[in-house]
This record gives sequence, C-alpha cells and structure tokens, in this order.
Amino acid sequence: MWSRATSAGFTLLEVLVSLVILSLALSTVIPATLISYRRTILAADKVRADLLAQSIVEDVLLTDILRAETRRREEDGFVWVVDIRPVSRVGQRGENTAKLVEVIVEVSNGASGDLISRLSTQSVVANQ
Amino acid sequence: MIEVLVAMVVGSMLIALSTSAVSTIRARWQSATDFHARIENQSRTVSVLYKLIERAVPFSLNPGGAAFEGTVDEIRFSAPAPLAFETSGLMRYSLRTMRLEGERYSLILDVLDTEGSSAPIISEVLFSDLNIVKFTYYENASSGVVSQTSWIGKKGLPGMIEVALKSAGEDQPVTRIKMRPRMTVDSRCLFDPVSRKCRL
Repeated sequence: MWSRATSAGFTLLEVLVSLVILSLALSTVIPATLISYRRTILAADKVRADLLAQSIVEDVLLTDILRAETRRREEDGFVWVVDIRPVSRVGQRGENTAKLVEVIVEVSNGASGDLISRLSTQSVVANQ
Repeated sequence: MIEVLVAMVVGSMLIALSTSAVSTIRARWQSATDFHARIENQSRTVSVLYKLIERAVPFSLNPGGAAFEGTVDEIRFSAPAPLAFETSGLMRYSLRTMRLEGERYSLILDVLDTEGSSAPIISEVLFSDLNIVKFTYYENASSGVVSQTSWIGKKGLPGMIEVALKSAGEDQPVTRIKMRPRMTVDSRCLFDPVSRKCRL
C-alpha cells in the first residue's frame, strides 16, 4: 500500500529549493571552468610567444652587422618588437673594434596588446 | 496545477540551459587543454632540436664526407655524443620525417652508426602526429641572408636552420623555429676515427 507522502511526489517548494542549490553549484563551477580555460589558452600563448622570441633572436644574430635599430612586425596573432642597442666596446678585433650589443625582443598579444614574452640577450659583433 | 506546470517548465528550461552551458564550456576547455598539450609537446621537441643543432660541427666523421646534409624533410650532421653514451667524440645524427598515413608524419631522431652503416643505433620519435614538418636553411651571403630548401654538396654548416612544425588538427598553428649551430670548430679539422676527435 502506498503512503500519501510517497505518492505525492515533490512539492513546489522542494523543486524551487533544489533549483536554487543547482544554480548556486553551477554559478561556482562555470566561472572556475572559464578561468581555467582562459589560463590554459594564456599558457599556450606564452609557450608560442617564447618560441617566437627565441627564433627572432636567432634571426637577428645571424647577421654579423648589427646596427642600433627597432623593428616591429605582426605574426601569427602576435606583435613583436626587436630593439637592438649598443652597450659598450669590449676590445680590439683586428683593425675593427668589437662592440657589445643588446638585443631585446618583446612579444605581445596582437588583439589585447598585453606583453606575453620578453627576451634579452647580448652579443659581441664586429664594428663595421 | 498551473503553478506546478510553470515551475516544471521553468525548471526544465534552467536545467536545459545549464546542461548546454556546461557541455559547451567543457568542450572548449577540453579543446584548449588539447591545444596546450600539443604546444607543450612542440616546446619539448624544440628544446631537443636546439640542443642537437647548436652543437653541430662543421666537419664530417668520414674524410671527404659532407659535414651537414639537409633536404626539406631530413637533416644529417655530426655533433658530440650524448652524455648517456659515456664517451667523448662525435656521432652522426639524422633528423627525418616518417610518413604515418595520409598527411600525417612523425619526426624521428636517429643516432647513426659511426662506422658508416646506414642502420641507426638508436631511433627515437621526437614528435608524432604532425601535419607539417619542413626544414629550411639560411646562409649569410655577401648579398644578405639567403634561404634555401636544401643543403647538399656545400661546405660547412648553414648559418641558421628553420624547422616548421604543425600538429595534426585544424586549429593548430604552424610553429616556425629558427636555430643556429654554435660550435666554432676550425673547418680544416680532420676527424680522427680512432680517438673520434678533431685534429688539424
């Protein structure tokens, strides 16, 4: 024999309370998942930007002649700026004086402009 | 009765909305995690490539042999042996692509027999499931930096090597990594097969 309490099902109040609890649970889970998603994308962008910065440094250092200059370019959703600055003279190399230059690469997000990666290196080059 | 029906309709809509929102977010999060994992994998592969290529030397293990041979899909060069081999001297390496199926490739690192046999001593998969693996060579000529699709029959090492990698998947970017051999060894050096060292 069925009792009245069992056959009556859920009351409106019980349904509403359960919906409120469900909403509260989702309101914490969804933002946390979204934050995790954004951080994952940022981490992947950081790795890509680091690789790009390293490649740019290699590209710049391939040439023996480095003049003080600033280059800017957009590539693969990133904006990169290379700043080449003379630091000091480091001694004699034949008839030319060798000098120390600093190469600074900054890679930013192409859409937001946020700086993602910054790489700085120094190289000794012949003074041309 | 109407109140119950309204509550059920509202409840169903809320549940449907929340379910679809959760599944959409989960799918995007999964895709981002997969994207990140592949990028991390590329980064690890690139670290290995940097360590290998920056130590390439501008002479061959065999007298008269080419120091560096490169095509669009393979590089062969000499470099110091890995520490794990507990030996000094040089070894011959090959970085090559292996077709899996369709447009899917693996990037393979072979440590070749120093005696000249084509069979590798060690073969290691550096990266699997790639859509694009391509090598380009740069030379610092008097007219400026020149790019080439192969490095065959030339003396010495290319000034810079570019490796283009793209993981399988539609949303994967093409990563182009440039690296320079850094070993400055006299190019007149002759390889001594007994000591496996350079002598002038």
